[in-house]
Amino acid sequence: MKHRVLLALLCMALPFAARAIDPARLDDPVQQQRYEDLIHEFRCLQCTGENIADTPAQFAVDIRRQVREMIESGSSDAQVRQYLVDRYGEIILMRPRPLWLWLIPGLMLIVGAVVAVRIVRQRRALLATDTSEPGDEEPA
Amino acid sequence: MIPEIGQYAMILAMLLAAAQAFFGIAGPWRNSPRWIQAAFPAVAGQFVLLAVAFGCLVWSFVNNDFSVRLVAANSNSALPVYFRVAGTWGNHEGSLLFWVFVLSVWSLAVAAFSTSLPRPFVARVLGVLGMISAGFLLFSLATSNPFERLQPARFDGVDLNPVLQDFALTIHPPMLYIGYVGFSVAFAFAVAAMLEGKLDQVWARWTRPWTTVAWMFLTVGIALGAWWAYYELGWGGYWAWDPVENSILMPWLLGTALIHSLSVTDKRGLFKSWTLLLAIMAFSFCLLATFMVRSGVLNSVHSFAADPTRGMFILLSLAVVIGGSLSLYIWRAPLLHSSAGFDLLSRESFLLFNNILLVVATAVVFGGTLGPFIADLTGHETITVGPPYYNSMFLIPMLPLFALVALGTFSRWKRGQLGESRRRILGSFVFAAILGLALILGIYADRSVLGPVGVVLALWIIITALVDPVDRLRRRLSLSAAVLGMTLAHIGLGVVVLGITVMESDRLEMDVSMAPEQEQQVGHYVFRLESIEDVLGPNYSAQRARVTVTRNGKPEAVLFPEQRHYDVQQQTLAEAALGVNLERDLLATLGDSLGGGAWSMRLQVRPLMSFVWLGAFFMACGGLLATLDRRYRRRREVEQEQTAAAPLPPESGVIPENAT
Amino acid sequence: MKRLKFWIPLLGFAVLCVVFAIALFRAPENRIVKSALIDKPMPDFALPDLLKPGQTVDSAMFRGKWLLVNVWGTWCIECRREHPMLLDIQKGGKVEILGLNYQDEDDKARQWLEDLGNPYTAVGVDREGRTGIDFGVYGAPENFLVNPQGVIVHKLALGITPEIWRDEFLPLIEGGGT
Repeated sequence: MKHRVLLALLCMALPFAARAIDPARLDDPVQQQRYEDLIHEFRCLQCTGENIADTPAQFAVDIRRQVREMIESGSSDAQVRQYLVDRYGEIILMRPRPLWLWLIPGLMLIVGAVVAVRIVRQRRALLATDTSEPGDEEPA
Repeated sequence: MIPEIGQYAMILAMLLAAAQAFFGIAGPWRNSPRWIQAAFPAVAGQFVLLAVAFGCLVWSFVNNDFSVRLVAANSNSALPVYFRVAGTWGNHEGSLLFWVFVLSVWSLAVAAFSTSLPRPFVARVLGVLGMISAGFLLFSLATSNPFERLQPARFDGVDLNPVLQDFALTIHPPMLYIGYVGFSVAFAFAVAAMLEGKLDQVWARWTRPWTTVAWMFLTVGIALGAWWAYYELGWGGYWAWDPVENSILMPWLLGTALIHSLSVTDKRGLFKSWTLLLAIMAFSFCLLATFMVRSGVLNSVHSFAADPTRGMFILLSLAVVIGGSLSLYIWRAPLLHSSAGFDLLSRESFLLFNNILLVVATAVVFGGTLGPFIADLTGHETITVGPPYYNSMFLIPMLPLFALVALGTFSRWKRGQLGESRRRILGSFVFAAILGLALILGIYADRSVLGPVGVVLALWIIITALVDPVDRLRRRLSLSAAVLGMTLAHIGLGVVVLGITVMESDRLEMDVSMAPEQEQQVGHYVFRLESIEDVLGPNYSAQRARVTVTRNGKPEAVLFPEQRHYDVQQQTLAEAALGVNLERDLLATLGDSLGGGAWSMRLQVRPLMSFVWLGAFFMACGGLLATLDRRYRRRREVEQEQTAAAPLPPESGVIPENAT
Repeated sequence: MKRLKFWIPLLGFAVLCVVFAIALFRAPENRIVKSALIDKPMPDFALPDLLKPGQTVDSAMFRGKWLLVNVWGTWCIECRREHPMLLDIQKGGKVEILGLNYQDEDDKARQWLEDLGNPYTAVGVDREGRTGIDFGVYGAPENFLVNPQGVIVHKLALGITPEIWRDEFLPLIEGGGT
């Protein structure tokens, strides 16, 4: 267990930026673009919150290689994703899977709008009886 | 000897803090001028003692006293002096002592600059600050003593983590802490008001400058952290939405909301209980950030320690401070109300929307940070939240906010009267749209959706911010520092948004293998690796590359990326090289030697990256300017006489006669 | 009734405190990735045998017996700590242990077994970690418990301790788990 924490800390505290740089490229530029897009989708399980594109951890190196080879041998993006999910579970995907997570900010905005409407209505009603004036006309 | 002096100074400071807390709170409660008075010298004494304590720690570091465990764990005789100093706060125990020291400085400032405020109120504020200080000192002495000795002493230290050996990182924590701790002042003002049972426009006016200064430091601290991540980590990333980064963003968002809410309370006596709650929450999130970093609950680059006992102690103190203040809130807030009114498109309305959107933004970040963690605890299927989530979800409240910043500049207090400015609103938008589209489609040839939206909004913010001041100048009217500050800060916001939008839409990044004399085209630029040589630093040896960058044959920059090997900690670190100007950043990072003279390299072109730092700088300057407004320094004899009598019941927004 | 809304912040905070308190006492465990391979057949593999050069270790060899697949490397500090426990498990006779030498060097691995003892029925060499990917491995040590039908019934992304063996693995073996 400590090994894992140590590795995670090492991964974070010592950015071997050197080994994150991966000059190997696919010959076909379309495939190269797919590769670059895909590797940003997968989580480095040895690190916290990093994707495998940006980190030098060995795990990331291995998975990048795997992705590259699968693309070269003709697998589709969906097949690559499924391959990794079958072995590592949904957690390897950076996109949060439960759909409702994506709805939360929108919902909060709606709640906020409702609150805003209520308050503005309330205060507009008070305008008639309100004799106070702003302390000064300065905008700030 | 010196460490022991430091130790005793800390203990004495803690006792003095407790005294400050006692006299500050009990004095006004018992209506005893003598007790009230006693709080003030306690503040001064605490400052002196903590200065001594911190000074002893710095001395131990600078003089390589490796019998102190902290020095042995974080420093080395080969470490340059300025990094030895920085090493004091580059770790858990030292940063805690630094935190308390900064608190004593803020407390001293409050005591010194509040001569025009009623004594009992200031005493209460100091009392609250004393409680916080005593608590932190207790925690430090009990679990994280910086002066702990090492038996037997080491011959030399294990050196500061090379990642931390960097200029930005030596001032990023201090700036951040000054900001965090600064929000304790707003918090103390809020608690003092609740203890007194009185919160009015005058209170808001007193609280504003303190809050703005704290916000300014927090802005600088966050920007410095992002800047460090950008060039030190070498990949060009500057914000990863990791738990620690999120934990400093949240108080900043709430602090921004607080500044704006205080403005409304100051002008119209509205939003009183909400401002109170915001002041409590902003500081609470600062404390929460402390917890998240130090307890190992959520791991990240910054985690200093993974220790449950420390975590428990922090949780307990959090519960006391936040739980206590929120209980006071339940008791006092219902008594605060105002019967002032405002129209739909008034300035009050816009600031209301501002607050709501900022709170939603905070909630999004909060939810994303804690969500996976809570899901894990409750046995739910694992949720993963990463940058893709934040980058899009954060925009949901922020894009409307940006539009409202631009629109809101035309609004007036109470009655809005936006219709009067209809032509200016339309004109400024059209101008921003034309300019923006020309920029993003013409110069940067970007075809995304967010690119043009972001650029047009950013330009609109900048243009509208300038409309009013320019108009006043043309009419030869004076401009107050507060308005200038606001203008500058909003322009800063626009500049940041512009920078981030263009940079994210149009940056180029390439990993290549290069040998000396080889070239690589990246966008409009040609990077050429000239040579690689060995160099020696004070505590490292390195390979340094010389990379020249040209555009259409004309020289643009010469970059020297390095791969450093730090001897003591046995670490290898890549130092990216940047060529910076206002138009773009050029980055080159050296990777591994690939054999045969070839090296892997990462080359990047980032347009308008400097705008991000420039904008943050403008925002901070704007905040500082606003604080210097003369209105905060006017003597308030009327209030002094009023509050010398018994405290009045809370009332609605009635303004004292000669307020400005 | 209107006063109730002022209680919301405090109550929300109280809930948060409870959450954090629970988290603090579970902190070490909550970073473990739940395996996607539970109740799935063990992946097929054929790897060079570390101790019998020229021969292969393949997945079919272990059908019909309880199998512990242990992922290890000489570079892994926790593996060293786990090693004595593996020797004990082997002596206990309840499982066969298959070693997966992960991203390591053959000479070092052989030396390690010579120095510390060999608990493994066989050791396959996964130099590049490809078989590891099939198992969903992301570090070492990791342990998989495979039943006689060849189905993975448990995964541990840590080193085995006596407590874990007793509380997690044994019940599955003796319960004849499927």
